[in-house]
Amino acid sequence: MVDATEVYFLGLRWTHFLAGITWIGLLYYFNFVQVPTFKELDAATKNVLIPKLVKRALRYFRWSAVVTVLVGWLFFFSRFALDSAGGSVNLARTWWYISILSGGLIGTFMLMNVWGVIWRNQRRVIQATEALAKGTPAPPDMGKWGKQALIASRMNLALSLPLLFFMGAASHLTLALGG
Amino acid sequence: MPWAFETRMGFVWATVITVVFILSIWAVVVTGNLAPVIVPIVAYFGFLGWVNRVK
Repeated sequence: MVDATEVYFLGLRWTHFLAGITWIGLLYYFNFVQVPTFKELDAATKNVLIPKLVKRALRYFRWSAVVTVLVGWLFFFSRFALDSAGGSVNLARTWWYISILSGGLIGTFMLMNVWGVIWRNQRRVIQATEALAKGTPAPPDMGKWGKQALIASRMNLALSLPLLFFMGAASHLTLALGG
Repeated sequence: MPWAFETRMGFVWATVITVVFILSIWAVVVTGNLAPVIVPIVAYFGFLGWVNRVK
């Protein structure tokens, strides 16, 4: 007989992995494939691709980030509730909690970068590109929007390394902290 | 070819936040208190304040 609690946690884990792979996969696509390719394209081609390809990729990118982080926190609080039911848990003395909290916080920063910096700026770039096709001149801030979005994207690329380390280390690195 | 400004600054901020994170984890383990976790959160909001002023 399968335990309902196990099914619940496995479902959360599976959803977290699926959304996380989608998110980080698209992050690597943007940084390693799209950004260098766009540097080699002329303006007319970019004006076609931005409202089509980039808009679609960003939709999966930003929503998979939301699912990854929300399901991750749901997993964390569910596990904490379960462990607390069996006695008090000292978060600061249990490696799994320290490591998963570190990864979770880094992931939350990355989600804030996705929505607060990358998407906020890219949405303006897409809107300006669509308006450009209808004859409206490009706004002077377009360069600034692209620059801010790219900084946050590069930061997320680098932060994905400690993020994955802490997520993996929670279950695959044994540290006895005492207490 | 030197790295672009965006790449350099993105990596610098990610490094700063990672180092601050590792130090805060060390402080959490030593003190047995979760309070030091606030430091990387403050560092991240420093990044948000900075990136929104980039021209």
